[in-house]
Amino acid sequence: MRCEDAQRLIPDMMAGELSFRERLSLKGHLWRCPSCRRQYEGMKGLWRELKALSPKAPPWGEIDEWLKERIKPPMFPSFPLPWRWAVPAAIALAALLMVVTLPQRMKVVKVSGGVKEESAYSLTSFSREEGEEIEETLLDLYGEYGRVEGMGIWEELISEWETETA
Amino acid sequence: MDRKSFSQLVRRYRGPLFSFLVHLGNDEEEAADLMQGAFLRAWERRETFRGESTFKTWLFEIALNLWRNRLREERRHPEGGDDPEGLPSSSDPLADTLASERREILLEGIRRLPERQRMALILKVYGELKYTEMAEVMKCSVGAAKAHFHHAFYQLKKIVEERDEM
Repeated sequence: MRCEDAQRLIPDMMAGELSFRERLSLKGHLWRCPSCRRQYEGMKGLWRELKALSPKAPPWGEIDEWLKERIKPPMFPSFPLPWRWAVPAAIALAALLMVVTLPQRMKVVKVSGGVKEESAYSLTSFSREEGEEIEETLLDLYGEYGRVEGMGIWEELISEWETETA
Repeated sequence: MDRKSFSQLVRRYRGPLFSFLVHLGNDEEEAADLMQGAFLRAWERRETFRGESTFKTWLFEIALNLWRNRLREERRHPEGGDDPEGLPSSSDPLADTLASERREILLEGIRRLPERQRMALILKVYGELKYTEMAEVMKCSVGAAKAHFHHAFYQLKKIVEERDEM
């Protein structure tokens, strides 16, 4: 290795951009050449001093809190564009089905005595088991927010049914 | 990219990004502000991140754009006393807190470097970017990014040596 090659490689050595082979080759040259070695030692000192100029760390805890507040997850999980409407569409379809089948289900409530039970599902003429199954499916499909949204629709149906049957 | 993996990336890159922004000529408060802005923008635009560059490069580009926008804004509405080039002024809080005269010489040396060289040096030393990443942030070839860094390093050494001889 010639001295000019070594001079060219010294900043790269500081910058951590040399391969193992290049580092070895440069070190070999530095061992043999006092002039390049002096240059290298000077550069190394400068690099260390530059690194020591790093500023005092800011209050990371406060910054983390600030960021956490702002990067809340979206109401619905992020789907690719063609699927983006899948969640609201599925909920709307479920609501439609419930409305369509409501009269039939109301009969079931009457047969079983038509008494308002403690479970919200029985008020919409679903059995507790049916309701729990639907909730579980919604939870699996859409996570926590799907469940909340789904419950909102059920509550609307309950209120509608109560108004009609009052 | 979910919240958890984003938070991990924040923790990994916040130190180098903050250090880079301080050395661009911002005081520590401004640098923290810009860094928070950059992370927030990265989160909001995470769906547009295609993985063609590294996340780190993308983040530094966002931060650099925010900094440039702020400089433009300051030029439009100067509050007085600001350095038109956005370089650290003599009242730079970082410089004020530096104890040794040697450190002041180094900071002055960095300030005196041509803009592209200074950018390359700061991206390498404080941002801890590879030449390939620096090239993406600086919108130039890898060879040019490397050359800017080399020139900056030798130029800075020369400035420091001249001051030592005085």
